[in-house]
Amino acid sequence: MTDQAHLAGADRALLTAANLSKLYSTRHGVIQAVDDVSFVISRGETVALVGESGCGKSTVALTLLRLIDRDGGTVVFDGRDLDQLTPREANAMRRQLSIVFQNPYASLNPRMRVRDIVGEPIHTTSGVSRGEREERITRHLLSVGLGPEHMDRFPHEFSGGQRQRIAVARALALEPRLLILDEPTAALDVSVQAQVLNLLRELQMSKGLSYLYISHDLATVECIADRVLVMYLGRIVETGPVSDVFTHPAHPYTRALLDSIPVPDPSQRERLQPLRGEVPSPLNPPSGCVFHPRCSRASSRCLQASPTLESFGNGRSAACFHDLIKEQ
Amino acid sequence: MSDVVLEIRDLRVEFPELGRSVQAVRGCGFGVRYGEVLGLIGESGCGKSVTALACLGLVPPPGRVHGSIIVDGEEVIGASRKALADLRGGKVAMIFQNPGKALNPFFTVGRQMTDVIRVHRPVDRSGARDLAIEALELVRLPDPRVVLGKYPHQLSGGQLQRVMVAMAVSCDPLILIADEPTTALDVTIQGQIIVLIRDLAQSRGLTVLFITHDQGVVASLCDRVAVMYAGRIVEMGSSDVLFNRPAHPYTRKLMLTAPRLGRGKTDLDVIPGQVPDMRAPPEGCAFHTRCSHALELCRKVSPLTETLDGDHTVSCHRAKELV
Amino acid sequence: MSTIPGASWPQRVVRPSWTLKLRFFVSGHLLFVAGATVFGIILIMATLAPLIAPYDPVAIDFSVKLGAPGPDHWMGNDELGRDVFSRVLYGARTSLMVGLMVTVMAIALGLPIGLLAGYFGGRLDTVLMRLSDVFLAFPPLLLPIAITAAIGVGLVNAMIALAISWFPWYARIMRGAVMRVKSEPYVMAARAMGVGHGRVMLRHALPNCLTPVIVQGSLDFGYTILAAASLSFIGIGAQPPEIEWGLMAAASRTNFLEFWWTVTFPGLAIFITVLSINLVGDGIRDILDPRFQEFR
Repeated sequence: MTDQAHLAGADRALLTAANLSKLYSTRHGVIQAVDDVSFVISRGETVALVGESGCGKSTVALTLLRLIDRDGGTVVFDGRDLDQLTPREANAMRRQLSIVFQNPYASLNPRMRVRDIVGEPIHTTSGVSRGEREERITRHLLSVGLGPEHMDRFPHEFSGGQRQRIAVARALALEPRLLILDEPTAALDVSVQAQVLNLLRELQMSKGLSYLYISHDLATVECIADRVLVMYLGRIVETGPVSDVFTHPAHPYTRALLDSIPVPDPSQRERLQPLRGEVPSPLNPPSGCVFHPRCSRASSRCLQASPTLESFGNGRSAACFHDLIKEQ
Repeated sequence: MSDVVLEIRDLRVEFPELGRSVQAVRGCGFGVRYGEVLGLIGESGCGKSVTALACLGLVPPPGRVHGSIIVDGEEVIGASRKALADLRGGKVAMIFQNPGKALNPFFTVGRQMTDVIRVHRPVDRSGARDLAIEALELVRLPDPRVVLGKYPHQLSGGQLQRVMVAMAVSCDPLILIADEPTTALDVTIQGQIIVLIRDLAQSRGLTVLFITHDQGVVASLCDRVAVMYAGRIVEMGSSDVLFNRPAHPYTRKLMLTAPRLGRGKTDLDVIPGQVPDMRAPPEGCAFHTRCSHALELCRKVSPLTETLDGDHTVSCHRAKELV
Repeated sequence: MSTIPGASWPQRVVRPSWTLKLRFFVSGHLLFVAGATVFGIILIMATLAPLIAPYDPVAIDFSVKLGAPGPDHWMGNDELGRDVFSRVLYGARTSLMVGLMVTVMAIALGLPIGLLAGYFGGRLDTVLMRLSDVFLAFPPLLLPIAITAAIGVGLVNAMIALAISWFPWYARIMRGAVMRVKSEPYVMAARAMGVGHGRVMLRHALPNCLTPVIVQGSLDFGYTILAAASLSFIGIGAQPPEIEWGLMAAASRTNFLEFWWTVTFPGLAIFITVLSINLVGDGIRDILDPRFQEFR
């Protein structure tokens, strides 16, 4: 269905998620937080998952980490179906997947020293001697640009950027192959954001990591990601290589997102055309195409039928009845 | 300079702490002209929010404020409690980063809006309600009557920020101070709020002091920009000049570190190091620790503000030779 | 990775001298310092009671029976002619020990219950917390009375009874704190790194939940002294010849109108001790409050 080209080259795929779904039941009814989401992450590749808050992008990350149970779909990691592993194998597999959270002010335990924060994941693996653990902690701290002299300090002694480096070092502690980056720079200043993004790019090259980069900031997506998945109300509405999608978006939502970004250039001020309205309540999603109430091109067909994600070559696909690319 | 409605001169704010105090603002000065949108941009901890709070006499204790802030001809620093009460919400209105926390969860939006309006305007409850509805229409909230009856938790972040803007403009202020009002919002909603503030400034002649760390937001909204670093204004000028011909090394770097679409998958420019600890700010030019053009002079002597052309001012020893 | 310039630059922090820190601390926490000083003196006097006490606290001397305070007996003598000052000194040992033991036992019982209930939630939470609530449903002194009636009269049993009636408060405080900490991103981060529930509870939840427990514990320390004295006063706590302030007051309750010193001094001792502990408890709450941690 999606990414057929990638599915065919399955030997390059590190993670294949197919038809993921997640329902939440709340006091007011059932919410479909993730609805039939499928994607592939290849070795050494960065896939970006973008969308507004509440679109389900973080839920996807948490289901991959198995921090919350999914209600449907399969996850194949390194050629093995995660559902068919023994608990021991599952535990070993889990170490290959790690995460960096959004807010480094909250994701580090304020009462633990850097040594213990970075070393904690190593504690969960048996058979690592104290000396080896120290050696690993030092190595990971160095790889994120911190030194051994920082080991015995507490998180509050560091700036936001340094804290995020500590969080990255912790995520690297078990030598994972896939790192989920959940808005890793959203809480940082722009100058520090650049430092952290460059660090992540360097680490990817030196360690051959794959990234799932979750963000709502399309400008940072462009400088770090190879491919992009655009999510709206729990569904993927467009996927493809970042450079193609951002220059010629095929879904009106992608286009609207791009037009909403304020450009740091006063002469392009008039280009800012924010999307009207707000994301509808997932408790009561619109009929047909869920984007139609905010879409400038919605036709009567969009009100009734829901478009499926159709591939149209070059590794791209979109879920829209209109042919935006041809119109351009 | 009769067109300057808000003038800040040599503002200093310090928070006493053990041993030394945190010098949040260290001699900041600029003026906001009638009807313009002025962007105040800087990294976190540079003192931009404290400057905004000082304009309303709202610096929290134990902060000490020195210098002069003149709003529409009246001095704010040292003003009486009554004068400050008239100023806040009356002449100067403020909106904050987190609209959810700025409203009381126990009262309806309508109750809170009418309460504020009645403080500043001689109207009864129903008159205040009419004014509230008018203000909500102005910020383009659909169904203002329905919104008035809602509690804050029943509205989305974008709707709440519109309510805050409505509340701010309902008393017809001279100046609107907006402290990172779009930072907590999604991009599409951020865009909507920017357009809203831009339109309000144009249609109602509202003067806006817009505080942000986002270069894109400044570029799409502000007529002039003041760049703040370590408690001082390092450069100020029209948006066009600052984005196209920045003179201060910090401004230049800041403009380059912002990721922008169309550059592709590349490394970003970085400013090395971090913002200085404001308990012990560097001597001389505060930026010298991170500046690639720093001279011996920069380490010792704090640069004066010079005018380059028109209203483009900069505080850098080497600005003229680097341009 | 040294290509990132300045990533590890140390922040320039000015370290103030310790005398300045002390002055700053004292001026910011005057009541705490006063309470701690008084409590420290009480603690020293209790510890050194055998050295300070001018008389044997149990030595009976009918020649000075109910003698008024004077130069030989600063606080007078009780109905058996024992020196009240010496007995107040020795009584401090009992009272402080009772306060400490009851508080420690109540925390030891309540903390794990609150931790488990708050962390796992759901059915376990319901069962544990409703069970604790049963103990809260009794009037404050009635439950210890019932328990001592069941397991026998005596100081140790009174302490156990008090701990049982006190632990649900700690379970509740702990549960609330754990439920708040449980949703912190660092707990989520630890889980994401594959850290097990036990370790998350001990390394992440527990240390970040201790502040309210410590504050409550320091306040309760005083209240338990008061409660133990009340139990002794009504005759189901400490028994003669044990020396305890509540018991001293009880023994003199028939003739305190004429011989005021027999009741006043033990009562005053209870009052001063509990007040100083409460001041210390309030001070600890202020000091541990995160809003004050900026001034580290």
